[in-house]
Amino acid sequence: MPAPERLRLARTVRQAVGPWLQLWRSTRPSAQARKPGEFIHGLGDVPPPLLTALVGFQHVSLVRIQLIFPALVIQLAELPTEASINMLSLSLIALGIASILQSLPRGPVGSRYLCPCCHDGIFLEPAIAALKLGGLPLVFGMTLFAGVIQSALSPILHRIRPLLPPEIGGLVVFLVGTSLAAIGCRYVIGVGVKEPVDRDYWLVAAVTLMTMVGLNVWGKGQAKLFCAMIGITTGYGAAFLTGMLPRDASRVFAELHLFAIPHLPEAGLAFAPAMIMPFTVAALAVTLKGIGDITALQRINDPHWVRAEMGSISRGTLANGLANILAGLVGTLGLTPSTANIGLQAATGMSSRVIGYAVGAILIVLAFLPSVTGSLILMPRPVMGAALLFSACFVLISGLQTISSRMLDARRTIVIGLGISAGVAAEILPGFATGIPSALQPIVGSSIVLGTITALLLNGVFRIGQRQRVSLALDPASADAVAEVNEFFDAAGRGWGARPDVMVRVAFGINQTIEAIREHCEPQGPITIEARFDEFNLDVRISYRGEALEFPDERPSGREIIETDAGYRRLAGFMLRQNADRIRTAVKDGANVLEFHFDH
Amino acid sequence: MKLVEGVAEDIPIVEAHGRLDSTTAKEFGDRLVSLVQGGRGSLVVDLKNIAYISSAGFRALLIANRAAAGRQGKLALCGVIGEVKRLFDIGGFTDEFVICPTQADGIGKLRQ
Repeated sequence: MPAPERLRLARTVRQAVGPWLQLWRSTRPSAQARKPGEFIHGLGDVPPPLLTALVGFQHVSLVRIQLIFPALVIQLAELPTEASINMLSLSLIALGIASILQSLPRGPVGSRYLCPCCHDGIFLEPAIAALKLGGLPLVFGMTLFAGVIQSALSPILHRIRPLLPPEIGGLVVFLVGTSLAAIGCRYVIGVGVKEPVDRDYWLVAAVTLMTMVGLNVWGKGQAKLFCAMIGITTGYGAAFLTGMLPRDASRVFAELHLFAIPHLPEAGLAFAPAMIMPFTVAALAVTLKGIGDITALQRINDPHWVRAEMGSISRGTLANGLANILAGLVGTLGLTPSTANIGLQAATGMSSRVIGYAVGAILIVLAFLPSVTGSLILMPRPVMGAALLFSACFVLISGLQTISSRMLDARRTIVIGLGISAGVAAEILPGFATGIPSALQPIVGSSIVLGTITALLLNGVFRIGQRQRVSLALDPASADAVAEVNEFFDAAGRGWGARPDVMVRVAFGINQTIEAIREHCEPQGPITIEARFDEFNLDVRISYRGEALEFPDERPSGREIIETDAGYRRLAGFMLRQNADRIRTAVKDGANVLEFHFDH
Repeated sequence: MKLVEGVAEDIPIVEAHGRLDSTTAKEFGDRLVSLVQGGRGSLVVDLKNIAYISSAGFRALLIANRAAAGRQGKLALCGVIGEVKRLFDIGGFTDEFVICPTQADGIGKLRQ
């Protein structure tokens, strides 16, 4: 072909393919590290239909991976093929409706963000316990119960937050991680499984786990994002090659219809008092996790985010509670907002609610196509074990990060330490629950429940006598004033479980104020410091008698700072104004009162 | 506060440790000015071990910076990280000084 024609052809191809490539690139996760609020299509935008569908499918792919949890319960329940596939289809319907509920733009239900939901390991351990006690009807009934608890908690979340501090949320997530890791390890090693455990079994587990880990650590873009799904698919391949897939696998695949209408299970619902505690704890854990997820959504959607907006969190929790009631009614496991999907929207730069509706619609359509999800019911145990173990790594670390995001004093250290100890003891000590009254067995026999209950009870006890308001009188002439005030605020921060980054700002504010009063205000008598804390606010009030400090909006020039006392003094005031979120001054009974507010 | 002094490529380097507040800033500032005036006018100040810097510390740095400029030299700061970096930002001092990541970068900048 002559060169000019080749160039013309290349140009034509580029023109035809270019927009598609651009579209594809815009949905790739490699377009990462977007700053908060910098979205291609933000919350209220309506992206083009094709783009909406593409991004929607990406979200659905992530949600689909988590179907492993109902698939595991289905395998343990030994349901026939058709009933198994029906349950997965009903799961998809519940997930679809949950995603739409979360994205609703107005009304009392929904976080109002793109917030796809997924199944989660939190419900796995209680569901397995309920399955053993009363079969699937009990699993469904208690899932509905958890939904009712969550819905009831939603309007009073802001009031009960002191009883559910973030570090206990982190503890619950950590314990969920240990529970997932324990189940995953059992399946990977082959303890208590029906299959013959030999070299091939371990080989399939190793191939699955190594693929996931390899892609996650060294992979890029889509490969990294979908490492779990690719690992599971590779595991299926390894199981097929080693003959580990069930003998009737090909018959099951052949039986899968292209289209089928899901129907409600005939088994119905059951309730058992023994399961109230495990599912109440699961509801609490899901609520705590949801608070974190919706807060993350607020943060990535608002470049000026300073604090969690409780209205959105309460509505999102209610949507999740209603979705769990629906999950129980249609017959599947509990749901939560999907953390992985929040990461995906930050990566793709698309947070439009319309994508939430698309995700819901795609999930509901998939419920009518059994051939798409049917393969999950045949997932070999070593593949399932590897997937659970892989997932546990991230859950464990996420829990630890939340715990360590707060300053912990002796009380909080003991709450978390004993909570973890109790949870681990229930997990690793065989016969831990023997000899205990049967009514308490569900509490003592579950690592998540025992660890959480231990921490909540200790937290309740330790709150007695703990002050949220502290005060200190400081002699401005004392050489130890700085050390004294720093020790005072360090102890207070640990007692409150405050965020270290906020306490660093508070420490600068107090130090700089004391220094400025001593240098410029000729103080008479003591400087009084009072601090008040709740989960969202930290207020410090400093009173002294002497000359007033000023807090200018503009910094004095370098020359003023060097050459004049006024410039030097005004620099201190300027820095204090910049350091706090709000500042107020007053004169009361002849004393200057400085009030510094820090958002927490 | 502790000052650790050294010289690299004929340029004095001062590593400050501890708190830079109203009780330590005068001694710190006087030492920087004497190093600037005793040498060629350029100086590297490493702040990576500073835990706290107040308005008094910034004033001392401004005085040393002016002394260096008076001798046609420059003051290069390095180790401006973490909380100290935040305080430089909120005080609007990031553009007032030559700020480099490391001592070697600071020396390179001063030799240009």
